[in-house]
Amino acid sequence: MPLADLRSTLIGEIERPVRTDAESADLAEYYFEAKRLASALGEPADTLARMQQQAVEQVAAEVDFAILEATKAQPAGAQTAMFSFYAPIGVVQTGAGATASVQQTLGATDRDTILHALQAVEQAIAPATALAPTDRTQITDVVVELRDELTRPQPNLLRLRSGLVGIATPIQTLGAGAYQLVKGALALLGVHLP
Amino acid sequence: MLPAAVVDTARNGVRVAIDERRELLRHEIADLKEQYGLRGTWRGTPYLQAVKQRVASELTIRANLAWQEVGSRAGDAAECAAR
Repeated sequence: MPLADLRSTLIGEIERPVRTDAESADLAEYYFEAKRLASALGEPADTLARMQQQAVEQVAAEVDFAILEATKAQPAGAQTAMFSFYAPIGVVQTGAGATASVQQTLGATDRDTILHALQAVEQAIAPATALAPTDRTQITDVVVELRDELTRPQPNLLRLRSGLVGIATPIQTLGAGAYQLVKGALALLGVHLP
Repeated sequence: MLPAAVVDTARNGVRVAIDERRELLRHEIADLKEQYGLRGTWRGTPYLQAVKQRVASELTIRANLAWQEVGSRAGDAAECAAR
């Protein structure tokens, strides 16, 4: 498949679910309701469109990086490349001799999302009788460690990923929304849980 | 272009993931309303800022979920084709 077409197809498929006039119309609804309630006349009209564009651009950078990694293993001038995506660990590899890459930056909004997920985990495990006391203690310890990690100027993403994955498994059966929040936080770190 | 079957499978996976996110966000926004309502600032800029932050984060999460889903399906298809 020609690389330009591949990029365009991948970006198109990423843009589709974040369109606030289609699949993500719920986001537009919440935003415009809050804007109306606040009577925020000074709010730029394109705020939502810019947030949408920013989200796509952030992921597009990862797509570009994946394509770049793939083409490094190809003969010079090649217009096609073989891709293998290993979604569960958020790594893209491109064949023999290839390197693995993961997202390396964490913005303020990403930090808030992860903190919010950790808070939800704490709230979910406190009343959970199905959870063994040892598990509860261990999860709490990891939550504290991850929160500390997030206060650092450059958090260790490997530690965040492994900690969140470790938390996700025991809380999956609690039936609360905490698992979904952890899943969302992990998606920001390039890890896709079922 | 990616094979139509791969795109369809990926889109279905994304749709399911977005449905889950939509439901979760509904609860989160309700919590925000309650939280800001208690402070008496539900109809103000602080609530708007909180919603904006949540919407921006949600857009990034959904874009990442789509990338992971489409990427993994495309990878599966490429592996099958290579065998």
